Amino acid sequence: MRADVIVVGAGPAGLASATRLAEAGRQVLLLARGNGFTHWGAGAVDVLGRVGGEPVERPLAAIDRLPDGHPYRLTGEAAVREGLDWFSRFAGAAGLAHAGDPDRNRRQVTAFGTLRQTCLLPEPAAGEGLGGRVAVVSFAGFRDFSPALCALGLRRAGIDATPASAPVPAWDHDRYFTAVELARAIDDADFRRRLAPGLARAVAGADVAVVPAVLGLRRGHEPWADLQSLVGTPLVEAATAPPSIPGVRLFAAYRARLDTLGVRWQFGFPAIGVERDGDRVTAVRSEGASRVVVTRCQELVLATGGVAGNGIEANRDGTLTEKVAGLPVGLASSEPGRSEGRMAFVGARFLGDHPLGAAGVQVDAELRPVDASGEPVLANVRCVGGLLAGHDPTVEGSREGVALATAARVASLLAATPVR
Amino acid sequence: MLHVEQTADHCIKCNVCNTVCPVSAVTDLFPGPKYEGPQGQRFRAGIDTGESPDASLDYCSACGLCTQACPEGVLVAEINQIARSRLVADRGGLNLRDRVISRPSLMGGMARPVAPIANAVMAALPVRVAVEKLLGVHRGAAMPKFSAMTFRSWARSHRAPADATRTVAYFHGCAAQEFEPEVGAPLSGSWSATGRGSPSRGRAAAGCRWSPTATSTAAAATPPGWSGGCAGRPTTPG
Repeated sequence: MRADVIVVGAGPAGLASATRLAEAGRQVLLLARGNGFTHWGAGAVDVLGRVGGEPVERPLAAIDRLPDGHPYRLTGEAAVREGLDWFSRFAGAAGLAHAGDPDRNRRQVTAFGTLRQTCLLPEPAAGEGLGGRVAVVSFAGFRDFSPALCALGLRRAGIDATPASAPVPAWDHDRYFTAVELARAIDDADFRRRLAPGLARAVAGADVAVVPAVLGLRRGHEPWADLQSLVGTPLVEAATAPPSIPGVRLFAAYRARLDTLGVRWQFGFPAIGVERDGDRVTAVRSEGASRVVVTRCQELVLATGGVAGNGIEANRDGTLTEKVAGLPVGLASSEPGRSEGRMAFVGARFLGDHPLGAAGVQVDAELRPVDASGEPVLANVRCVGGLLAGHDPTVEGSREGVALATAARVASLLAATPVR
Repeated sequence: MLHVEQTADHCIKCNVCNTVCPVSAVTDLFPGPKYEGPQGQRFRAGIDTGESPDASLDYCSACGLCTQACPEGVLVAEINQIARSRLVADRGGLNLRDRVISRPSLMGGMARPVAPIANAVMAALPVRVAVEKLLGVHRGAAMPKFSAMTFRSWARSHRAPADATRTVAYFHGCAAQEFEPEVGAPLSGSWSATGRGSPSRGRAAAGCRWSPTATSTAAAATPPGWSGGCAGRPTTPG
């Protein structure tokens, strides 16, 4: 088989890269092992929440304080801004408008009642300045959200929150149900009309209601807006346990866009290797139904993630392996005295920082993988997102921002390359 | 390489497979691939005797979307098929329903000479009630219509155009062969080198010759939404 550009990975970086490259006129094949971080995350766009362990309020202004080699230092602030602007337009056009701006961080309510730092938020989650009397409501029979736990967390944060439960009208499910099942039902306008009175009673007297993020699956934010007007109280979606409904919505929007752009994509068939000619990758090897499939390509974009995302394997002997092209993987220097084999992966405190979280592929300013001396090892391979060295997306709260900034960079780099 | 059932250990309980399952979306009787597969696996491992805990496995349509969606490489659908084979063995083999509906060629071959009559009989409510009682197929379940002509006999009677320059192998499934040759016919005609496929029955479009090739697994492996062998309606080439 043959492709122009192969993008490997369907997390935030792979989806954005494939979409943007196709928009830039490249013929793209998206190869993925399975679904990615969209389905696990909080459904927001984290740009930069912490630098050196300290919270950041103005993410773009804090880029200067990041160490050399951080993905944002490589792409530059302009690419971060452009990536976020592109995302806002894309999400808005898909009926998933986000609130917030890149110059200021915001807070997102979680199922634990914590207020996590993020930057751009889906409109149903954008309960900025949550105040007054807050009702925390779940739906009877939905087990993945505890209003009592969430309200407890919010009260600790000084918010006047009270737990409540809303009945679910008679429907297809007679036992417990999942977030997906409830979200699918809420897509239906008639179901919303039957759901609203019970929800309105549960939130009576409250200025705002926090609900689990299950208000619709395939109709953008319209079911949320409709239910909100039926109930007559502002509804704020709290991030819940996976699968993340806001993430599934976003994934569906990407999928629809990729289909419109004519991007081929193969899910469940992981890339397992490459074929090379000198300093160029000529083909990607992926698992097929019963054999290895070899697809020739001009360019390869790796968006396979770090250790948690399956892009990097942490081996028992303390080495790290990049799983598709065998690229050199760097580990940030660990604490003195803890560099023996696998122990170099972890920090001293379980809930502290761990060097493994920042393990990744070092790249040059054009996102090409480099060796220890800084020379590119493969001329037509670019790395994006969590696979990159120099950042820990979880600890610093930068996952979607890095994904979008590097996708912006790769799109501008490869759009300039004439299609052969 | 891990054994199929060992991949269950890679499950991180993210529920991605449950978001794509077309069966649990429509019935409570199937709790979803995660609960049946990696989750249920711990109750099966090492248990060689006794009743299987999960008769609901029968509702799995074997579409395989759960395995495709899994980010951790868990072979969800395969785990469930292995468990299901054990469930069937526990019951002493396939029941009559499964023996009948897993043999579309036998059914099609028997009904073909009398297809219009067979279809009329199968549409009659008393017959469907009897089938429900005897086989356990719900009287309201959609049934394919028997075809008087197979896809391969249609193919034999249609020659490639004289100006054909290329050959396309079309791996039709049992559905196109026995029940819906009209699905395969326009599909074959749509492969025109010029991109101007003719959807009309009875003529392959100019530009390519094609050869029909039977496959027993193509239909089972086709995901929903792909308008091919086992989908219900003929495609309209663009």
